[in-house]
Amino acid sequence: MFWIKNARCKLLFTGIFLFVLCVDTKGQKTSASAKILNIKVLSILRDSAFIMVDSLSPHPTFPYDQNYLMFQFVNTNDSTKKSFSYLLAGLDYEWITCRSCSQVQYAHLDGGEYIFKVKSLEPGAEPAVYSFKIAGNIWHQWWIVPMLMLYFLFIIGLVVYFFVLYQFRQKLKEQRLIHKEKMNSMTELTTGIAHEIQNPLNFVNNFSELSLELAQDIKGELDSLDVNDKDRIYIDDMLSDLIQNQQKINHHGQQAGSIVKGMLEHSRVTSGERELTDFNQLVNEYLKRSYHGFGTKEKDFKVEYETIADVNLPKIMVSPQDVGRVLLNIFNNAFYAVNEQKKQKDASYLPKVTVFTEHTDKKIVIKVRDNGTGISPDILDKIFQPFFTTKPAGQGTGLGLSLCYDIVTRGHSGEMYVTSQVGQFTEITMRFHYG
Amino acid sequence: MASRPLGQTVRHLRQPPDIHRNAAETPDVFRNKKLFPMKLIDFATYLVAIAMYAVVAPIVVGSLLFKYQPKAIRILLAGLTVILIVDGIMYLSDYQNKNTFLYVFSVIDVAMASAMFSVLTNRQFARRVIYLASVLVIVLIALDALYWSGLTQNGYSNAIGKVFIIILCVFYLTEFMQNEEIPRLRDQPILWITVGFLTYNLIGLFDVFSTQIVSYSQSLYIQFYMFWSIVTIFMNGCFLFAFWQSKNMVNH
Repeated sequence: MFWIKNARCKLLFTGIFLFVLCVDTKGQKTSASAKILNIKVLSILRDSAFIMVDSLSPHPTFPYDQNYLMFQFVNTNDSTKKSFSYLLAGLDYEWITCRSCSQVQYAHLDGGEYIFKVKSLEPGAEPAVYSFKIAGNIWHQWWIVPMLMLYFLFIIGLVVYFFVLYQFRQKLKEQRLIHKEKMNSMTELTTGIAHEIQNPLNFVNNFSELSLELAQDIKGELDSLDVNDKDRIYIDDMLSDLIQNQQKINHHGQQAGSIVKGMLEHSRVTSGERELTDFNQLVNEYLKRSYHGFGTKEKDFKVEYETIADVNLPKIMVSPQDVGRVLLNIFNNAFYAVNEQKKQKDASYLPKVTVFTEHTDKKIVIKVRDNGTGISPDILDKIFQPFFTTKPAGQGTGLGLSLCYDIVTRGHSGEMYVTSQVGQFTEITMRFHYG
Repeated sequence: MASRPLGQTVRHLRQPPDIHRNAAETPDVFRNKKLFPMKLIDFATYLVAIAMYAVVAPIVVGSLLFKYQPKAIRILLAGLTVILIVDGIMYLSDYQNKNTFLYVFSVIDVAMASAMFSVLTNRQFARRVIYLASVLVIVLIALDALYWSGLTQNGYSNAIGKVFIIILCVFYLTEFMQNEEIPRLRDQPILWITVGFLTYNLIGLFDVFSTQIVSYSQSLYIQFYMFWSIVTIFMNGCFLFAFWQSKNMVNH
């Protein structure tokens, strides 16, 4: 009955058929060899009745969704002749000839200007002309492609973002795991060595004490011996040296003993008696103790310290002695760091130690932050290792923080982390789980 | 957002405005099986129906495991239930213009997401910002519905509501993934809830183009809503899994 211009149009036409608009074009181009009788416009949107519009309306603009047009035409000289040539300028490149037709349909026209021309096949025939415009739909708007691209880029960006975040998290987890394993093996090694050293060291200490007593006894009995003065002086000198040597052996033996004792503490991190503990109270108590302890050792020691406490902190089952020991150690380190920083900085520097206690779902978090010297990034992951210290020789064994780490992580199944920036701050975070 | 199987999707597909479902209404050309076998629309209808009722599954599982759920998940459960009720009212009343309900669903979505994510975040400042922003978005939706776009149109404020929820999801998911205390992400219900929200709203953003799509191509329109139905089913699947995993939730 009618033609559909191309395969694409045919496909769309099968899915869309809603409303018909009719334009009466009688009277157009009377001198032409053909006359356009009707123009029917199919809309893909509204279900409506057949509408007549003013045929004399020049150059009508159809909405983008009324882009199905059917032209019906007739030969003005002989209405029985049905051979025509037609062309839709704006779509067709050349005239199309049909031998037995009176109508043609164009489906799914894009937005733009069009001129429909039709003429009979008689030589010198003038075409009938009808011009119209199809308004462009959203796809013809300049912004639609950038908008769609932006939309898809946004989705892709989010996927990439979360992928990177996930990879970063996995890497961090891996590092933490390696660090934990390393710490565990170092602790085992430390306690193993300590156990091995302890027995021979006990012998050294005990026999050095015994030897010292024996030497002192001999020295006491020297006067009662029947020896000449020259020999007596000689023996006395020898005994004095011996006593002095024994005292040194004993002194350093005791020192080594205390280090071994510290090393062995790692194996006893879970031995403390557990009871319901108020962390706020514990923090305040040990913070004051540390501050005053440090103040007695250092002259002109003045540091601002404060506790920002979560008042709803629940009491949890921990060993208060062990946790107190951890707190004391960390507070001491914090005060030491700010004191060192104070020595390097000018008078405007205000040393400050802040302790935060927080309570989130089934865990208590304690953060100790100081604005001291900070820790260099290359040694940050070593500070919990046994025997690692940044203090000058003789001021620290390097066992304090490693013991703290063990008490928190192994003794109380918690977590302990450090973040720091050189010259700015150090923050030690401890998390204790409960429930 | 969770509602869309019973809300927004229904708006478009329960009574698709331009798709002839009844043979009596169908023009002759569509009765030609060779030309138009009608399979796509049938498949789409079934898919939308599944998406519609998929929301019931997380609600049932969530109700059964209610005692294990932390506050945030209970907010989600409450939100889903409200959405189901509104959907039920819409279905029973056979309200013709689904766009009006779209505004209602947008308000519920924004309120639910804001309440949930503000409970989840520990930052007081972030919580205040979320509350304030959610109030602004709700006011914007109301103004759009009543004065600007009108109740019968799918206003752009619905898209703004979605963008707001996407921002909340991205913010929370970032915070969540940076939390080193969470041992296994996939065991955490909140991850699945956020993924469900995020996916749904990202795809749902495309709704701003839907009016143009329906004008442009019916089959494209149906395909988009079929895809959206799958996304909706996926989202409800995420919620279902999240409720199932609610015992493992780690808050921070």
